[in-house]
Amino acid sequence: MNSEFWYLIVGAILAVAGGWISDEIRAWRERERELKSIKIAIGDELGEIKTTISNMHEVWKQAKVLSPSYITNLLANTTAFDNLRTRLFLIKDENLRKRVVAFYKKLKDTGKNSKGKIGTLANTDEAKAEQGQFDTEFQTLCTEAEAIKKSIEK
Amino acid sequence: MSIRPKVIARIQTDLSGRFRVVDNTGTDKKIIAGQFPDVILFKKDPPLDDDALFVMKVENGGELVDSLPLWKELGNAPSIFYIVVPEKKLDEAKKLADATGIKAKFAWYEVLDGEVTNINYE
Repeated sequence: MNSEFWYLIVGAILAVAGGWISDEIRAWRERERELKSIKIAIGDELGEIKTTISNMHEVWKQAKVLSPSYITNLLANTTAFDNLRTRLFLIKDENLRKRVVAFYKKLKDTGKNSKGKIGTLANTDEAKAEQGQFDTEFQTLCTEAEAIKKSIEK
Repeated sequence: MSIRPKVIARIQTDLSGRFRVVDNTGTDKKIIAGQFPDVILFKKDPPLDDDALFVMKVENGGELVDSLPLWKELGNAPSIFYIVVPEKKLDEAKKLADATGIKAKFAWYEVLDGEVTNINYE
């Protein structure tokens, strides 16, 4: 009677523990899957951003003109980040997480600051310098996008 | 001869080194934002593409207010929109654009003895 009672208790404990472990494994696998999809989505988006900035730079090199349509595309290219922002904590590397957030903030700030100023036919030194400055800022972002993409896809 | 073709010819002379300049006032017109700009500047090839970098509407001495609906549409196009006006109409054009919330940049041309002597771009 006494031993049967303890078998019952041990059995119950094992059942509860088994259920808990099973739930934990399932949750862990879901987090891993989600983390993978976050990395893919952000990595792909960074790739698109890099391509857009490279195209913008090509036009700049050729015609010394920055086109605002590229800025529109860049600002539209933050959807993955905006949608996944609250789940970024799944990226365990704190430094990488901060770099991603800082990158998107800088991209949006630079895009907004350049709106209305980018793209001119003025042939003055002042206008060329201003446009060149924007190109440099976006080139810096392009380099950063590539570096983060590599880190995130490791 | 109206001043508009002369302004367009001057734009072509000034900018054809940097862009593929299309006079859009002929028969084979391109539509941008549902409108027909007078001049379209494309990236010079290679690579050839149809992404207009700049679109322009050249105004002569007529009433600028008549062009407002067209300005509004072209101002919403993804390309940079330039309104090209005679120098003496520049202030009026800027005030009209400001008052109606039209997104545009301005260029103004100088005329001497019926010839376009210079075009300035902001």
